Amino acid sequence: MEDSEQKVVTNLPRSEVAAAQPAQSDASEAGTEIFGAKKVSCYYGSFRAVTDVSLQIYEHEITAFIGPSGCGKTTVLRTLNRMNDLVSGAHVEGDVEYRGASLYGKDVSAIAVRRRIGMVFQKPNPFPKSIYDNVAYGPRINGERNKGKLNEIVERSLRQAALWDEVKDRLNNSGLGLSGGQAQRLCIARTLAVEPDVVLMDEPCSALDPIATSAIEDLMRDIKQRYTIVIVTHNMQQATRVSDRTAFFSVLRNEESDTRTGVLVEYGRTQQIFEDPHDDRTRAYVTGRMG
Amino acid sequence: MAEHRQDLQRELEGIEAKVIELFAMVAEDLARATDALLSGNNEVVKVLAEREAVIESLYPEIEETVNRNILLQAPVASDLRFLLSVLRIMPELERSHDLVENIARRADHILSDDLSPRARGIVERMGELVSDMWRQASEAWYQRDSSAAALLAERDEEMDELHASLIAELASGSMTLPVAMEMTLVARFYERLGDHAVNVARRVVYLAGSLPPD
Repeated sequence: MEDSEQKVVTNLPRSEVAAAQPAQSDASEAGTEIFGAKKVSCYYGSFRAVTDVSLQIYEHEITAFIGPSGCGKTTVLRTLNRMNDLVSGAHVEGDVEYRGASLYGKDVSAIAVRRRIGMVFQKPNPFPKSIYDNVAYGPRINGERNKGKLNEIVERSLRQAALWDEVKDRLNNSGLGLSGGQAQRLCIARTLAVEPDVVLMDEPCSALDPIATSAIEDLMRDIKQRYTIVIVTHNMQQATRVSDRTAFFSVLRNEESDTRTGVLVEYGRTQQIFEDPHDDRTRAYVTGRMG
Repeated sequence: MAEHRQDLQRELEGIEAKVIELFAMVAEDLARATDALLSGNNEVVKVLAEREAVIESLYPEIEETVNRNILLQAPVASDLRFLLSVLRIMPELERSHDLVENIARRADHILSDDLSPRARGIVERMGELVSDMWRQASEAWYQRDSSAAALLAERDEEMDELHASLIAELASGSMTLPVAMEMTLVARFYERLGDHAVNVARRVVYLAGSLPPD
């Protein structure tokens, strides 16, 4: 295990290297490609949940996945950090390249992948530990023992997650005592503490009230200067507010075999998808006409 | 597949019906105004004033419905493009009907015998052309046909030529000065009506988007 982890760290180009490259100043141009999904199909046993998804995700952008329930958007999100590996019977066909290297290559450790590509889930899931320990958890696992360094990381991560001012006087209180919105920001701070390259968010605001939702959206816009974000959302207004690009997934039904599978229908700049979608299925969905 | 958001759909259809009504009033009254001017029939002026009252009540009604739907329905894609386009063409329609009324009002001051045969011919031609342009613009809106913009821009050049010809005829001294002065305004009204038709057709390009119509 240790060996393969070492290997992947050297195999995958480091984000620091990419960060040293010239910044893409023109936001209308696509930046560095972070993910390149190539004809990805996902299976749960013999059930093909997603078919032939190809798309690129770019650095320092927020990419939103939208679509009706069962369209496979969460499944595709989970292929980006190999979370589906944890589901027995699940397998992926096709390939996902991360910074030009295959994520599903033989030598690649899923655990190392997940260190670089963090995830925030729908339901805030703080560990039953103090606020401080929640954030310090990842760095400690990565071997950070220096108290001063840890303090620094905890403060920086909580500041990035716009939670510092609210919790700085009670870092030793349990993370479970926070409100829903605070708990979700704590989970984001926990994800940022290990300085990932990418943050995947699976409906991060669906359990939150509008004020907490605004706080998370502001924070997404703040941190996208340093990270690349992919978000699954059922809230289309959220997609229009925060994302640079939007991918619309839908369900394809096969009447003959009575099966359904998720497909990527349209992918483009968020303004184009919501102002002038090129596919009639996208129009039907974003205007709320689809039944 | 069930169509959802039927309330919004009904509201949009209601707005479209009223917009079409405005288009029809401009196109129909334009022909009447030219006819009144050339025949000296000032009865039309009264009819057009009544129409103006209808437009004055329709205009805020449509505007209010559009505002409400943008605010409450969070429209996107073709729904949003439609509502924004309505807001943009409404002033064109209102202004155009004013111009039509202004032309008709000249029937009071100008007797058709006051016009030189050449001026009369040009006015007739301008009236026909601009009526035609407005029919095309209405049709383009109704069909969401973005190709009309280029077509109408071409016809507008023809309009500009007719305008220049009429001004030259008025400047030639073949009519009395008061008639020439009034007719200079009329020439300008027709020319502006052509421009408004072009503007409407241009708005249809955004309205139509890249999807074929439903």
